[in-house]
Amino acid sequence: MLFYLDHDLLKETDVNPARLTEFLEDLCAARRNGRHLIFSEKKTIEVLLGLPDLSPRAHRTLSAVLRRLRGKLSIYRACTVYVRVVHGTQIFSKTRDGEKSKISISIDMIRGDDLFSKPKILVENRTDGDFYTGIAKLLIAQERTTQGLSLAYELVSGGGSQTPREYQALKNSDYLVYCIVDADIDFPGADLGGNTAAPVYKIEQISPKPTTEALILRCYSAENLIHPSMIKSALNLTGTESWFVNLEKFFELELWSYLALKTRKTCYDFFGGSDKNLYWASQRGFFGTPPCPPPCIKEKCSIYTPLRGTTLEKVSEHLNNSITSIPFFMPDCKSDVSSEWHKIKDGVLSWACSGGRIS
Amino acid sequence: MDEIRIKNLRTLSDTGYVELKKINVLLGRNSSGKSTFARVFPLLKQGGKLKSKSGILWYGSDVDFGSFQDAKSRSAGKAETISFTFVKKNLHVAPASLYFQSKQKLRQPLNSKLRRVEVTAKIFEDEKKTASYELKIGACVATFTVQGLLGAKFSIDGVDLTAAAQKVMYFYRHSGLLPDIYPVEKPDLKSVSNSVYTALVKAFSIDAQRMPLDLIEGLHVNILYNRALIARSLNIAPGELPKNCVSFLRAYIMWREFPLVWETVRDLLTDSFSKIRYTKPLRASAERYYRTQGLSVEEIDPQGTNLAMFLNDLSPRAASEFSSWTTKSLGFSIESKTSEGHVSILISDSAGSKTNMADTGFGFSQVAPILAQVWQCMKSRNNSSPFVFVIEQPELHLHPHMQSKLASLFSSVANENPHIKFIIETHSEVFINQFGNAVDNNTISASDIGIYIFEKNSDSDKTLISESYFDESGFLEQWPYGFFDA
Repeated sequence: MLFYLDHDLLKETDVNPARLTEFLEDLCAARRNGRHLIFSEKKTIEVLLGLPDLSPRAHRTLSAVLRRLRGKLSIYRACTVYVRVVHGTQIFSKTRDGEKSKISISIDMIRGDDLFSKPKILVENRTDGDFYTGIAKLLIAQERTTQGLSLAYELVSGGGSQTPREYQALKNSDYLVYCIVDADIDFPGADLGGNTAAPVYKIEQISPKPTTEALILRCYSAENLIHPSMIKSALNLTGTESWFVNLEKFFELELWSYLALKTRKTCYDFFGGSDKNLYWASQRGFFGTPPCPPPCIKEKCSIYTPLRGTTLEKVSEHLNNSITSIPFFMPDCKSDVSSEWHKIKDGVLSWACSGGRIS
Repeated sequence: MDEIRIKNLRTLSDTGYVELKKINVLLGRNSSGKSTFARVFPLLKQGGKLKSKSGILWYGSDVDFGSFQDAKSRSAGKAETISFTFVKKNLHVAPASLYFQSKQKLRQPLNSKLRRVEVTAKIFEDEKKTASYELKIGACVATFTVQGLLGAKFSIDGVDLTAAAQKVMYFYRHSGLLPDIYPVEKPDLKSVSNSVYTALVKAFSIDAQRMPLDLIEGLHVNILYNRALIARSLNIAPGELPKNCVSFLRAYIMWREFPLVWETVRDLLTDSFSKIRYTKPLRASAERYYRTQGLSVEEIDPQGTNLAMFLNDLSPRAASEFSSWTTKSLGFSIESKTSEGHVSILISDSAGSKTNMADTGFGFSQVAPILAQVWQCMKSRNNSSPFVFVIEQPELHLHPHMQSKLASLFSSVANENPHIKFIIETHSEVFINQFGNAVDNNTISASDIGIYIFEKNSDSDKTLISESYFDESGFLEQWPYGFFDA
């Protein structure tokens, strides 16, 4: 996370220099260990460097920050959320600052080391987490002004439906927490999934906390954010496989975001009077598979052949492995998928941006 | 020159137009093409000193590109060749000083500013003794080829005017990249003008009744840039001016003004090339004594080997000024001491203690030639075109503190001396930071510093150049984050 040292913070040098020094020691240690970034006006750091009780290591860290300040503007610009350390008492809020969210915090509100630890990225399971962060890393690397950015985060697997409980528990700590879950929606206008997305949303509404944020992805599951080219590349396909050609076709359609990709669809999914059934009935023409002769045998019927359960894992592994060799090029694609990618990238970049270690 | 574009030189398959600002910083990983770019400037200068077959001396005392074949991009096709394009903005063309004008006596003396003029030189193998050139004014392009010493082909916007050109002028390439134009003895200008007019009328399918030669002879050269101006000059509504008429008129005006414009821009560029100053990435180490030579040192050589003679050649007043300047800028002074036919270079610290440069840190010997060159350029009265000062690795063997002072010095020199431009190839983060500080404290304007980042595409082996710049507070925009990280 980017910590912006507000210019007013310098007033602390008169009010409580010991507390300011202690805070700077902690923040510099976090920066030194590559957990957070520090940004501010040049003059602010220059004055802070003059604090008499600042340790030599913290001084060296702040000097290094100062030396590299000129190139940090692009990251500050790219962050949609940042921490602004301000002068005052009992300040702990999240407000809009132009196009960004600003977490304002006064030094007296910082208790313990949690805030200086690696931010937590809470996901339903590790595979989802690796996939989301893989997408974020690739998009970050693809952007000229962010390409060299380091990320520091701890991936926390919530355990499916236990994720809301974990989120609530983390909200009771002082960690920086960014939660990413899929919405589990299987048609446009569907309610958020009752197991995870809806409770996470509810927690966010009932107990908002400046240092936590949840991103609920507008799709059925993480698989719906896979681009076919990722599958082709990860599974080494020729691209002519019939199931893959079918998949490519679905990807271009609106229904892609709502299609349960790992689940077989049967004739029954296209009949009935519910909103969900009516939606899928309206999409039936896109599925070339002929209907079963009545009566349909649900156990045998397959209007849509599902992806294997391990597809996300393989894709995720492929994306992450590519980062250290020839990064997979995130393609331009339809706006609903690409906008979710960019939300993930903006969130991960903002909550987990960090710098290289400083000796 | 205000911009430069290089094609097919080593990894520089096409640099695009690179604007030369007061300070130009070239950054990039090793072997990304930035040294090639930087060394083009001494290469151009090198070719101007001696007569060469192609206009470029690929191997010389300043830089060594091997041969044409060594220098040509591997990715370039067989038919492609190395080319250099130079852009001059607001070119002031005045006939008074031109040899060509004094001989030919053009009916329409030209005295105006041309918004943007581009000159391209395409270089071929030495054996071919051929080079071709383009002069572009607005959208109009004159192309000519010089074979050996003389012009072989001449065309404007694709219309072959070789025969007409040979009746009035010939090209002469003695030294340097760009050939001179000389008028032939007693040219029959009227008949040639008529033949060009006729050729262009035919080529552009023009109704000669509508566009008689008398009418177009009076048109001003600035119409090359502006269609509306052409229409106004001819009392026609812009919408009613056919495209072929515009092309025809531009081509004729180009023909008419070509010799003067070419000679003007050629003289300017040749002068610019001669005023390129270059400092190699590794400068000569200091010696305890140098044999005195009675030579006048006009220029510090790229390795700084004649620094002692330069210092020795300074008048007492100039030596004192130079010493004061380095003390003020970097905290130490450089002076020479002569004894028994030998010269020593002495470094004085702020306390006035003098030490032979051979006994000081290596950094002094590396920075001293740069300082001497900069100072020499500052003091030069020959300011008709700017000195382009190319420095590779100015940070060599310097402590970051000294690097920072040197960067500040460059900023203030560039700002205070419009006739000096810097092209700095560096790996120093301190330099970048200090230039940002210089912008922040208004020593130099953000728009006067260009930061060019060289990246080699691993697939194509071609260099891509992108520009980063400072905002008004000295923060970098379009900066590849983590550029200086390991």
